[in-house]
Amino acid sequence: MNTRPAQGIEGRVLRMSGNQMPGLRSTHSAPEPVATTVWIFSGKIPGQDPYWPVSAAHHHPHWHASVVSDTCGRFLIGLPSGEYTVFAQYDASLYLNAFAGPRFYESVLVVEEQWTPVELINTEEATF
Amino acid sequence: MKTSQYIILRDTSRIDLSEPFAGRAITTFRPLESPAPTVQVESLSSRDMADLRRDPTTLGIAPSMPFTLIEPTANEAAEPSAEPGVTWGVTVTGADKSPYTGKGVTVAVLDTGIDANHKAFQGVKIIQQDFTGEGDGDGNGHGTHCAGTIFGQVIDGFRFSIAPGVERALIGKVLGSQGGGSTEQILRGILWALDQGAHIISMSLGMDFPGLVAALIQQGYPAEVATSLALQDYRANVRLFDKLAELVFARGSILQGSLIVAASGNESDRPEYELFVAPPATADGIVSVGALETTGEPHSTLKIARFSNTGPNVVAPGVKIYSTWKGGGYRNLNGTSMATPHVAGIAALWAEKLLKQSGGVNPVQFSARLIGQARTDRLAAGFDPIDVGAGLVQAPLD
Repeated sequence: MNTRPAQGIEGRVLRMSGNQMPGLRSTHSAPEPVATTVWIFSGKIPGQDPYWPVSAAHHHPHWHASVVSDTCGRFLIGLPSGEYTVFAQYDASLYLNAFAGPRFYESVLVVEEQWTPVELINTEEATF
Repeated sequence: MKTSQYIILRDTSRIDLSEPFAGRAITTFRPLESPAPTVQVESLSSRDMADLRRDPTTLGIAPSMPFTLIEPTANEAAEPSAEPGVTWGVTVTGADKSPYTGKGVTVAVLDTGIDANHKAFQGVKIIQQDFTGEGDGDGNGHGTHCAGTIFGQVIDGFRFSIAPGVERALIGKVLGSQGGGSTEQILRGILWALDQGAHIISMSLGMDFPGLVAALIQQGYPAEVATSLALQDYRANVRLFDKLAELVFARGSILQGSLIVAASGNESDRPEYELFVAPPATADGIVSVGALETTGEPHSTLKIARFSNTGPNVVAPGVKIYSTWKGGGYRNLNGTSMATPHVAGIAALWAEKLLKQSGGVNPVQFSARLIGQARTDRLAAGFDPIDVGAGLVQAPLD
């Protein structure tokens, strides 16, 4: 019997594209959901670059799990309490444009009995 | 009679020449520092407009127009720096070699607000003023990113700001969390910043001309008419900013000198097409800023960014720019919005030098130093001079 775990990360993978120039009366296309592989690493991961080659990432000792986002970009994964770093895969690279400081990616915390929300937004193909 | 909403810029310090003195004794004198120019929003008919234009205290009238953030174009890969303690924007402008850090200089950032609790802003006296009705703070992140490039503190030995010595920052929230604002909010923000003693006003924002056309079409106007009406409003707004910049300059010759820097816009797409600097940066007296990208270490070859509008006064790093983000983190962003705070930061270093030398900031010397010291020798061969203006801004080195 499948039961939903009690805690973990609940997120969306989105990609912005096209003209996103905001304005009082202008209209923008909404970010599109991305069905892709989401990589979860335990703890903080060092890095200064939003891109991380999969060839390097998949040997990393802190690689904890991977999950696939659905056609709505949604994903959900049950995890023990702790600190995690979450990337979305685009072709041969992992992507995360969020940093905790000059040398580490931004991490998220999973706490007991709670679902931590995460939005992984890629704006690489957007024009603003 | 049909009326519409207009922004009126007034300078009430002007002598009303329409009223002869007729032997009346002048019993009161206005102090030099007051009154400041004012912004009014009124519903006007065409007759009211004609009357107002004859009023000598009226500097300009324009319909209120939507303004937007000059949003970053894309978040691309940040290149690992050969010098891990400093960003490439700090290096190529010479800010890391300058004896100046912006100490004693007041910088204003008119944007989406700021995350004042961010670790990188601790120790800076931040004065916030909300012109949007949303309240203080930054629900967007753009303003926090721009502010970080100007005066973010060195974190864990890593310097990403041009002027980390700035101790007093004015944060005018003129754009909401969705990135929208109006002429009125921007003008009020500029006047507030001047009143608060800003030496530099940094604006990473632009006019939303296509948005206005779309709105008019939605109101039922045919496309051709909507475009003409929008153009009319657009031109009036440009004139309004011209007048305001004139006023800022004139005020600087008597009171404290101030400099306004603004983003040139991201509407170009090289090599397909290039658009000219967008308002308000296009106004006379505002320093317009284009964006450069680096083609690799050691940043010896710089070129104009694909998206950067042509015809700016100066250029600065605007691609793969690491800075602060709302919520305490950091992002790498691209855009002339990111180049503008680099120039504002360099202007802060020049202002500190001028303050130390002469005790004040003369607006002529100020802009002459900032623009005159810019250089083009680091740009890739074959660059188009109109794309880069005077070139890459440089920090004072002695």
